[in-house]
Amino acid sequence: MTSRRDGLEQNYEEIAVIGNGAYGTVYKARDLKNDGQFVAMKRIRIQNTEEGMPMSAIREIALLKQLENYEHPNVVRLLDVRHTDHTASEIRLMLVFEYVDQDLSTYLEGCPPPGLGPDRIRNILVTSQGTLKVADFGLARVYGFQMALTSVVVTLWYRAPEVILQAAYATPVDIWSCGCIFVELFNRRPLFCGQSDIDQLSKIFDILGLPPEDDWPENVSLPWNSFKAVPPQPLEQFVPEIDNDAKDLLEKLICFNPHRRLSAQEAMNHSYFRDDLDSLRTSSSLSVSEGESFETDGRSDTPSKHGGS
Amino acid sequence: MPCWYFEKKELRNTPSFQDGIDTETENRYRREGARRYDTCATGVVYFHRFYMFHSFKEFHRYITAACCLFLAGKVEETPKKCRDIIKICQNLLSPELFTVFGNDPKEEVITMERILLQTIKFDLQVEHPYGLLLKYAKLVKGDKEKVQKLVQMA
Repeated sequence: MTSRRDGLEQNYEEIAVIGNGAYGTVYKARDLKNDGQFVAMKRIRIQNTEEGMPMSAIREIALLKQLENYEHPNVVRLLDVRHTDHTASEIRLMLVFEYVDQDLSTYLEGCPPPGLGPDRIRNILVTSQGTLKVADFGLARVYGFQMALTSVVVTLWYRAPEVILQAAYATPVDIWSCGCIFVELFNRRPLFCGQSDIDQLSKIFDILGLPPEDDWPENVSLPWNSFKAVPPQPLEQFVPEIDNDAKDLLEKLICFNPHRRLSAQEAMNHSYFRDDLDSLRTSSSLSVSEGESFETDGRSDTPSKHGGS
Repeated sequence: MPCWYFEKKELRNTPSFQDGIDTETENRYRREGARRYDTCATGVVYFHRFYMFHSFKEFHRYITAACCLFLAGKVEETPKKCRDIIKICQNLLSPELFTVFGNDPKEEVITMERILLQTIKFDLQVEHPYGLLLKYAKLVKGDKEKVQKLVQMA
């Protein structure tokens, strides 16, 4: 039996390594079949099983490809998926994405040197036209195997308290992360920079105050009374440039109790965006498309592995 | 000819319902059962797409078919063990025809999976018209039996 797969090397020419992390190695490359335009190639390894490609990886790649159908302006295009080679224990895939020059961290710093530390917002990219693009959508489970093999620690800073407490969690964890990044857009530096799980929680409570005991999740190993009872601090003290609308939104995004945190849809309807969208649309510096939000295909209640930032 | 149309009352009072299974559970079981259709339909789509890039001389249709069903099972959340799919193939085919699966049929199908995935470009989610068709048929006014026939034909 022969396969007529044409070689990868004929299609893509690697130029440089641009990233290295828990998710594998990312290369900047040229797509030789498309006028040599730049692409980002991610090499990933997936566990080979008795039953071939694991269902989790298949499910996620199928979703990624399906997501492509929406051609959402704020999601990085997945251009190609290639099976490169395999051994008895692993399958190697190559995901080819649209190339975007900088991530949000470099954009905020306003300087080009790409840092490779784990403390970067690596999956939010900014194009040269100033369009935000989300990358690595739902890849946590595809990368799962690889992450288990590497010792790279995914940053804690954007992690919701329920994740750190190892309580049940769902999509509100992403809203928490959004809140953290929202602050970073004002301050150009992260809000909660913990060094360990407990340190991260303490840093959160230093600002939000220790939540009432009723809000503490059940069946977690860290008891509520292991933290000092501290009162909440006014947020504007930590985000001096914030206005009232933004402050109100932020408070609802980084709400300790995930049940009271805003949903993505509620956040989009917040008055902060109502005013801002109009001015942004006219300046067209950001392409935010309303009503094109993704349906989470009813999976919002299923706990999902959150890869951090 | 038995009548396959039921009154609403009859649809509620099914044998399972009489047997103590609540309507919600029964509906779930029915949906689960019907999901298998999607799996077959998805597999068939993979099969057709595959042979738009490869010839039937190059890849034997039995192996491709078995592999399409195997992969569709994983995508549609109705997974079947590779071993079981091969067993069914073995039952359906004469020993002579089954020889195309070679000495290690399982390895043959698993290897095929990688080629299949690459060929169909990992485009695994297939949308089937059946659900939409049924919805549409409900809106069509006219002779119910004729509408039913049209749906069957489609």
